[in-house]
Amino acid sequence: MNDWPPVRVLEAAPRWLRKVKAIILREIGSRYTGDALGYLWAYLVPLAWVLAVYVIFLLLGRRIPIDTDIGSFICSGVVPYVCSRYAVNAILRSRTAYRHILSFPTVSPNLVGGAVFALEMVNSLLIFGFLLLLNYSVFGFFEMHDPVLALWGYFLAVTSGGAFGYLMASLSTIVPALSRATPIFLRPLFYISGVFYTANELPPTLRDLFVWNPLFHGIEILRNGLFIGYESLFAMAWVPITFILVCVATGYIVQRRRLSGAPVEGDASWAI
Amino acid sequence: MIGFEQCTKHYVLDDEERVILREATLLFEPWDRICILAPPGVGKTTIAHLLAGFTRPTEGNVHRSGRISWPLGFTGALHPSMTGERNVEIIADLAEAPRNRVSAYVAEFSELGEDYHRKVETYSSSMRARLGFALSMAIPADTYVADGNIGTGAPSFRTRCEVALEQKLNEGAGLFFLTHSPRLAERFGRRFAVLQGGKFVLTADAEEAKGIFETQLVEQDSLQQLVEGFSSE
Repeated sequence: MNDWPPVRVLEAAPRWLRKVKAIILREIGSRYTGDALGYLWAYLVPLAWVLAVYVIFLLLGRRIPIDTDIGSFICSGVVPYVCSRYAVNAILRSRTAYRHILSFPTVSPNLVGGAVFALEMVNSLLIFGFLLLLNYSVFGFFEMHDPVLALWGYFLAVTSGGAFGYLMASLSTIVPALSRATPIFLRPLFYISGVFYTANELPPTLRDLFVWNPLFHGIEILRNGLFIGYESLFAMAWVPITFILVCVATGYIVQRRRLSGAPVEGDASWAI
Repeated sequence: MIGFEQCTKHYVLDDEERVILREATLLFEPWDRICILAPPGVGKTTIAHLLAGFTRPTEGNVHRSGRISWPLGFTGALHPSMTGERNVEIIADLAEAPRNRVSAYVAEFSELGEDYHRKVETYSSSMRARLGFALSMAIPADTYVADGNIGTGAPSFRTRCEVALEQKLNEGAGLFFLTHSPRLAERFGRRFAVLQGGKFVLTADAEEAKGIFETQLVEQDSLQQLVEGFSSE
C-alpha cells in the first residue's frame, strides 16, 4: 500500500514543504539581510523605477495612451517588467548561492529554483499591491476592472521571467558565461515590452516584431484587467504560456543531462 | 562505489595552469576509511570539494551516492546575516535531518553559548570554525570528507572533534581524508594512498604511504632549494 504513488507523494509532502520553507527563510534572511531596511529596499527599487519613468514622461511631455491616471499606467508597465527581471536574477543567482546546499542528495536544483520563484512571485504581488495603494493614497486613483484577468496577466509576465531564468540557469551549467550574459538579453526588454506604451498605439511593423515577446503580452493582459477603458487588440495568452512551457521543458532536460549523459542509478554526481 | 573515475581537474590561476588531478581514479565503498597523503599546496581542498559535490571535474566523473558530508568544519554555506541557530536549522531541514536534535547538538558541541543566537557576522573565525565543525558532526553522513585536519581551534576542542569523528567512524561511517599528517592518517585511516603527479597511488599500508610521502617531501625540498639557488644567483 505504501508503494502506491499517491501515498508516497503524501508521505513526502511534509518533508518537501519543510525544505521549501527552509529555502524561503534562507532567501529572506540572506537577500534582504534579515532586517526592516532590507525588506523596504525590495519596495523602494520598483518605486524608484516608477518615479524615473514618471519624470521621463513629464520631461518628454508624453501623454498616456489610456484613459487613466499616469501613476496606474506606469505601474502597469514598470512593475511587471521589474519583477520579471527580479525573477530571472533570483533564479540565476540561486545556482551559485545554493551550490553547497545542492550537494545534499535531498536538495535538487528544481526544488531550489521552485522555492525561490514562489517567494519572488509573492514578493512581486506585494510590491504591485503596495505601489497601487501608494498611488491611491497619494493621488486618489485606483483602477481594478477585472482582478482575475489582471492577476493572470501579472502572473504570466513574472512567470515568463522565472521560466527564462530557469532556462538560463540550466544552460549556464554547460556554458557558464551565459549567466553573466543574461542581463544583456534582458536590457532591451525595457523598450520592447510595452512598459511605457500600449500595443494598440504601435505601428504595425513594430507590433509584428514585438508580438513575439511574452512579457509584452503579459503586460497587455494585465492592462486589460486593470483598466476599464482599455482593451488590447493584440494580447494573446498563448505566447507567454508557450514560452514558459518551452523554457521550463528545455531547462529541465538540460538540467538532467548536463553532465556526461544521463545519471547513473544511485549516483548523485549529475546533481553537482 | 564512490570516488573518482578518470578524473582530471585543472584551473588557471594568475595565467598559470594548475593541474590537481590527471586522469586519476580512486573508487571505494562509502564506508571505507581512505586517507590520502599529499604535500601542502597540491590541491587537497579542491579534491575534497570535488567529492563533496561543490565543484565539477574538468574531465571524467566523480561518483557520489548516499550522504557525503561537506568537508569537516566547512563554513561557506553559513550566511553571515543570519544567526548561527537559524543557519543550522535551515541546513538541517534541507538535509532532512531532525532540526531540533541537530540544533541542540550544535549548540552544545560548539560551546558558543548565547552567541549561538547571534548573527554569524559577529563571530570570530574560531567561533565560526567551531560552528562549522559541530554542524558537520550533527548532520548524518555515510561518508565524511576531511581536508587537512580533523577539528579546529584550541587543543581541547580539537581533541573533542577527533573523538566525535572517531565515534561516527566506529558506528560504521566512512571517511575520505586528505592530509599531510601521517600521524592523523594512521589514526583515522584503514586504507592509504598518496597523491603523486595528479594521481592517487594506493599503498598496502600506512607505512608504505608514509615512505612514499616522505620521499616526495624530500624531493620537493630539494627542488625548492634548487629553485631558490638559481633565483639567488
